[in-house]
Amino acid sequence: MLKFVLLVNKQGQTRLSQYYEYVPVEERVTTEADIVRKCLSRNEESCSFMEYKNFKVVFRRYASLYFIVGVDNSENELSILEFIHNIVETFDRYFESVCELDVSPLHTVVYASKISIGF
Amino acid sequence: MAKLLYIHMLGYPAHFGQMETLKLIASPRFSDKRLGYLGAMMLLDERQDIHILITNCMKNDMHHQVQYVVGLALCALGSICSEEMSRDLSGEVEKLLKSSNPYIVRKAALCAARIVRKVPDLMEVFVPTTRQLLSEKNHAVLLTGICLVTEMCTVNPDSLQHFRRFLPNLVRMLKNLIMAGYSPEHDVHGISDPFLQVRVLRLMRMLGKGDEDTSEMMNDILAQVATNTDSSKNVGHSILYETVLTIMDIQSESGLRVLAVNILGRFLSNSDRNVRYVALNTLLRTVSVDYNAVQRHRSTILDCLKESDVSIRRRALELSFALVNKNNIRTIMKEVLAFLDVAEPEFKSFIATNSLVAAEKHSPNKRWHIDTVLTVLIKAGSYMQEELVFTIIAMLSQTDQLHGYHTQRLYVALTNDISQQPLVQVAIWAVGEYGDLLVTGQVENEIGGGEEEEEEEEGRREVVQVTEDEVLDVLERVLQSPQSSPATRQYTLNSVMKLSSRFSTSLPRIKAMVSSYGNNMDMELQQRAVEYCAIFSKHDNMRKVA
Repeated sequence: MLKFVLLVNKQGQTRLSQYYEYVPVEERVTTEADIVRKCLSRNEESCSFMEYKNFKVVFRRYASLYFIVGVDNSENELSILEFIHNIVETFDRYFESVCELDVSPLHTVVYASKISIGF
Repeated sequence: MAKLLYIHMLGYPAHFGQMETLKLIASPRFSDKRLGYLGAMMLLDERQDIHILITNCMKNDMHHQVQYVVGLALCALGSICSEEMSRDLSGEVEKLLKSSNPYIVRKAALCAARIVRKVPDLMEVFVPTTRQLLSEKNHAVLLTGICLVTEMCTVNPDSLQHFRRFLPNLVRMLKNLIMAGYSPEHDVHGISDPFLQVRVLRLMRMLGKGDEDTSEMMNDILAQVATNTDSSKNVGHSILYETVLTIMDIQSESGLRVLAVNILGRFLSNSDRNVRYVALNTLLRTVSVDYNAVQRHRSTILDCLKESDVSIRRRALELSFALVNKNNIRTIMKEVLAFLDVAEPEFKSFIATNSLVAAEKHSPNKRWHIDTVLTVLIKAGSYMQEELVFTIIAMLSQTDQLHGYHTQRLYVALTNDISQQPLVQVAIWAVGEYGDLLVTGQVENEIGGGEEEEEEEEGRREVVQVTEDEVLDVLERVLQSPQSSPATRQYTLNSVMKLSSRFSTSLPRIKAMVSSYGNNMDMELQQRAVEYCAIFSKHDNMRKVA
C-alpha cells in the first residue's frame, strides 16, 4: 500500500507531496527532511530502496528531480519503480518534455493523472 | 487557493482556508470544484467538523451528469472518508459501481476500497458487485476491481473463502495477459500490463496461503509465468519477483520452489543492484523454509559482501550467518573475518556476537574455535558486549588441553594493544589463571585426527617465552593506563593476586603492587587490595597448598 509520494529537487525543496494516510503536519516536515537527506546522499551506485522506521522507501532520480515513494513492507519494490517510471512518462506525455518547474503550480492535473493510474 | 495548497504542502499551517474550500466545492464551475475538492482532500481531516458539511455537496455531485465531476467527488470521498460520511454515502458508491461508464466504475471501486479499509463493517455492501467487476474486459476496471477484492481480503480473512471461488477467473485472466499478443495501450517494454499481472499474483498469494486446493490450481500458471516472462528489463524482474514471493507463500510443490530459488539465484548475479538487493532479502526469508536450495548460491552471497552498497552488504551478512553449518563454517568465517576489517562500527558488534554464536555451534574442533574467537576479539574487541566476555572466559576454562596455547596468544595480543577493554579483560584473566604455563613456554597441542593438515596450513606459531617480570610489567601498565575501565583494573588486581601463587620469584614485587592500591580512590580496588594484603601477611603459610 502506498503511503506517500514526494517530488523533491536537488536542493531538497519539496515540489509535490501527496499522503495517502493521515500524518500530522509537523511530523510530515520532519519525516520528509530526514528521508530527503538520506536520498540525496546516495550516489549512483547504491540501491534505490531503503528501510526507514517501519516502512520502505523507493526512490529514483530523473534529471534534477527525485521521485520518492513510501510503501509498506508487503509491497513489491520493483513494481513501484515501474510505477514511478509510469508517472514520469505520463508527465512527459502531458507536458511535452517535462521539467521541474512544470510540476509545481499545476498539481491539480498531477493528482488527476495519478489517480487514473489506479493506485 | 492553489497557492494556499502549495504552502500547506511545504508544511506551514493553512487551516484558515477550509471555509474557502467549501465555497469552491459548491460553485457550479468545474475548475472551481476541482480546486475545492483538492483543497478538501489536503486540508480537511476527520478531526474537524467541517467535513460533514461536504457530505451533501458530494451526494449531489455524485448524481451529476458530467462524469468528471462524479469522479472528483468519489476521489475526495476516498481520501477523507470518515465513518459517518462512509455510512451515508456508501449506498451511492455502490450504485455507481454498477454503472456502465468504465471511468466512473474505476473511481467507484477505488473509493469502495478506501471505505472498506476505513470501515470494515461496510464490506458486505460491496461484495455482490465484485463478481461483475472481475469479469470485465476493461483492464483499468479489472485492476481496480482486484484492488477492491485485495483490500477486502486484507481486512477480513473470512472473505478469503468466498473469493477462492473466483480463482479460475484469475488464472484465466493471467493466461490471457501472457499469451495475448502486443496490445499498445497496456504495453510496458514488451510485457502487457505488468501492473495487472502483479496485482493478480498478489491476490493469488493471499488466496492460496494455507489452502492446498487453491495452491494446486495455481501451480501451472505460476510455472508458466516464471518461464515465459522476459527478464531483460526491470518490468520482467518485478513480475518474476512477485511470482517468487507467491510461490514461497503458498503450499506449492517442491519443483516449483526449486524454480523459485533458481530465479533468485539468477537475480543474484544480475548487474542491477536493486535486483540483487531484492534477491538477498527474499532469500533471507526463504532460508528457514528451504535451506539446501539456498546453499547452492553460497559463493555468490559471499561475493556480495564485497559490494560497495551498504544495504546489500548487510543483507549478505545476515544471510551468510543464516547459512552457516559444520561443512562450510571455515569458508564463511574466513570471508566474514576479512569483512570485519573494513566494516562500519555498527556492523562490528553484530558480526562479533554472531560469529561467536556460530563458532560455538558448528566449529570443527576446539583449536579452530579458540583461534576464531581470539581473532574476533582482537579485531572487534571494543565493540563487543560485556556478557560475551564471560562466555568466552567460561569457554576457555573448559578446553583443558589448550590453556597454554591460548594464554600465549592472548599475551601477545595484550602486549600489542591495551585499549580494547573486552580483549584486555579476557587476556588478563587468562594470564592470571595460567601464568605459569606462560612462563615455562608450554604449548600443548590437541590430539586428533587430521590436525596435521591444519597445522601446516597455519604455520608453526612462535612459542613465546617470557619472564615473570615482563608479565608483571604488562599488568602494571594496564593498571596504570587511563584507558582501562574500573572493571579491567579489578580483573588485573585479581590476576596479580593469582600470580602470587604461581610465580615463584616475584613475590615481593607483587606484594608491593597490591599494597599500593590500598589507598586508591576506587572503593572496589581499595577493598580488594587491603584484603589481599591481609591474606599475604596472615596466611602466607598456606601458599604451598594453594
